[in-house]
This record gives sequence, structure tokens and C-alpha cells, in this order.
Amino acid sequence: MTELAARVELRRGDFSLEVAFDLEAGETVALLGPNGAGKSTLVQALAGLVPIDAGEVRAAGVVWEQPGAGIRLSPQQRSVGVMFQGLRLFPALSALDNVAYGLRAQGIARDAARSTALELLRHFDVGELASRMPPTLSGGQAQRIALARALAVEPDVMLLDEPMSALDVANRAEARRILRSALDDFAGVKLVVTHEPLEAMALAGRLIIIEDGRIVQTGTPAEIRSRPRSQYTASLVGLNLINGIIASRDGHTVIDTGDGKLAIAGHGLDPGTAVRATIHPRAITLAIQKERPSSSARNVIDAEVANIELIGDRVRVLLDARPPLTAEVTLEALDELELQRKQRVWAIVKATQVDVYPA
Amino acid sequence: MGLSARNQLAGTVKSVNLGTVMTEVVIDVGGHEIVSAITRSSAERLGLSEGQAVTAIIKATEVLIATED
Repeated sequence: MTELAARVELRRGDFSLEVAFDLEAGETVALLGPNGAGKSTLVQALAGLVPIDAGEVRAAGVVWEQPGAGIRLSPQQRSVGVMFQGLRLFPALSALDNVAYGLRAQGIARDAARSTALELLRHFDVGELASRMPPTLSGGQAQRIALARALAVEPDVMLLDEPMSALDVANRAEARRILRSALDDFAGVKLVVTHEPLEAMALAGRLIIIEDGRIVQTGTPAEIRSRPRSQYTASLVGLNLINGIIASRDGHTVIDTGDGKLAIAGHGLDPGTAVRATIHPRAITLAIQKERPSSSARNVIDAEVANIELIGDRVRVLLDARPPLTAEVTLEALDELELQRKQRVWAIVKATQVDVYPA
Repeated sequence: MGLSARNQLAGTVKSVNLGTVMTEVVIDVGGHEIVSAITRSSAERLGLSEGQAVTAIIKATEVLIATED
């Protein structure tokens, strides 16, 4: 059953947001995108803090907003709990009154609101912090109080905007566990906004990827990992993404990317078919020598090292080539080959390592 | 050849099994067999045949290790 149906169009200066999606009760969906993609704007629009220009937002059968019909519920009238980026606890209210605030705004008496709020604080193991003021709380404590505040009104919809961003690295594992358990316990619609792919894949069963105010892909983490549909998505999951058209070269099947050709193992694809293909950076071998290396690998691509990035014990070598590629090699290989920027190399990829799928 | 692949094993071709698209090549490396799946066109281009001296190239990141227990 669809519990949140959002068709959101809004414009702010040069930026325009145009997205449509349906979320079901119980599922956790992550909204993933680079900075500036419109994620926080969307959260604010759903929460009723920013008006939409056109479309409709409907939750649990209630129309929250429909500009065409002149409908716009206030944030308090929407059954929504929001955990804002940076948490945004009210600094002048105690932890208890932060959690009780939404209930009070709904007209619930002070004592009843405070009693519910205290129960929630206890649920998150921070009952003893009830009288503390937000500036005196640690990141992890503030996170629990913000979660309790979002849940206090028993909303149909939970929106969590970068819920891990206020935490330092040391507290992340614990904070993720608490967040995960709170999400599991919540039966309504859950939308988690993040720019971190690992966080998205750890928390959500489905991802919506947004770039420049548009949805570019939705799917399970496994689908996104194996079939990225944009350069941003491919880079999130660490794959080379190649867009092109199936063509034939000397009787062999290749992808013509418009910027170089790549041999693929025969897939029975007709010439002219638009495809995408991924290559894992580990599947690319680099060779340093004057002559084109001779091997069974069908793709031997003339390249220049554009950059070398160390990621832990892995080395990613960005290649200026046709098409552009990123290779991953070991630290030992980096040392042995004395790889450096601007160096000419051959990038070697087996045709069987090019994973092709329809565009 | 200066190659980023850490494993470069000299051997001889033991068998070449041509399929329609793919080809399985078994290489004898010091008594151990290494199986390579390459495209048929690559096998034909290299003119692979039994007894031919070849080098099997395996990236270190692609080698799995199992332990006995």
C-alpha cells in the first residue's frame, strides 16, 4: 500500500526540483545524491516548511499539499516527524521539552506531553538527560533526543535528513545501531536522506538517487550496485560506467562510446542498441612499455595517468583515455611500476570483464 | 613487460577448447593447471595451440585464498 505519494515541483532561483515517488509503510527508503541535488529542499517541502509550486503530496490518504486545489497543510497539521540535518534541537528548551514540543503544538496538555516525552527518552536510554539543555549534550546524546522528538507525535511519515552528520567517527557505529533499531521499530513511512552510499545501503532496502533536482535511478542496493545508470551512481559504487552503442569492428562486437571503442564478449546484441557497461577498476591491468602489449585481452587502451588516489591500502589510478577509466592496483604495483601523473600507460581489460546491460 | 599485475606465471598451453563465443585455455604452470576463459576471437588472434609457451597474468586482487580447517 502506498502511504506517501509525492509529486513535487518547485523552483528556487535557478534551481528546480521535479520528483515523483511513492513510498510504502514499513519500508526504509534512502534518498541519495550529491550536495546540491535538492535532497534537503525535498525534505523541507514534504515537511511543509517550503511550499511546492505544483504537484501533490499525500500521506496515509490525507492530502498534505496540492497547489492546484489551494491545499497546504502547515507542518504541525502533517503527520510527520523530522530529524533535521544538524539535528536542530531548540537550544533554549530542555531535552524533555524538545521532545514534548510537537505534542504541545498539537494541543496536548503540558503534563501529558512531558510524560510521553520522558517515556520516549527512557526508550532511547537518555531519561537521565531530560533536564539537560542541548548545548551541553554530546553528538550521540543529541541524536537520541532528536530521534525521540521526531517520533513523539507518532507520525505516519519519518523524514531523517543526514541523521549521522552530527556525529564524530568514534560514535558512528553505535549511532547507526540506534538509528537502525528505531527505524525497524517504526511502522510508518521512512525516508532517510544521505549523501553517503554506505549509510544508504546499510539502512535502506530501496534507494532513490537524485541529481540536479531529478531522480536518476531507483532500486535495491544490489540493483544500484550492479546496474548504475549515471556517472554519479557508478562512482558511488566504485565502478567505471560506459555509455555507448553496440557496433561491429572487424566482425567483433564493440561498444562505441563516442569517445573510443571497447570490445565486449558477444552478447547477441544488435548493432545500434544503446547500452551501458560497467568495468570494475580491479579488472583493469596497467602496463608500462613503448609497444602495445600483446595478450589475450581484447582491450588495450592508450592512456595517461591523470591522478593517483590512495584509499586505505588500495590505489585508484584515474586514466585519461578513450574512454576515460579508473583502475585499481595494489600499493606494491604502484611502487614497482613507479606510477606517476602524466605517465603514459596501457590500460588492459578483458572483453569478458565488461558487463553490458541495456541503457 | 612492466605490468601492474603481480602474478605473471610462465607456462605452456595444455589444451584449447573453442566455443562459439568463449574459449577455455588450460595452461600448465610447473605441473599446476591454470584455466583461462578468453574470447574465441582472442584465442584465434593469438593462434593459441597446445605446447605453446605463454604467460598467465593474474591480478593480486583477484586471487582468493582458502585455508584448510
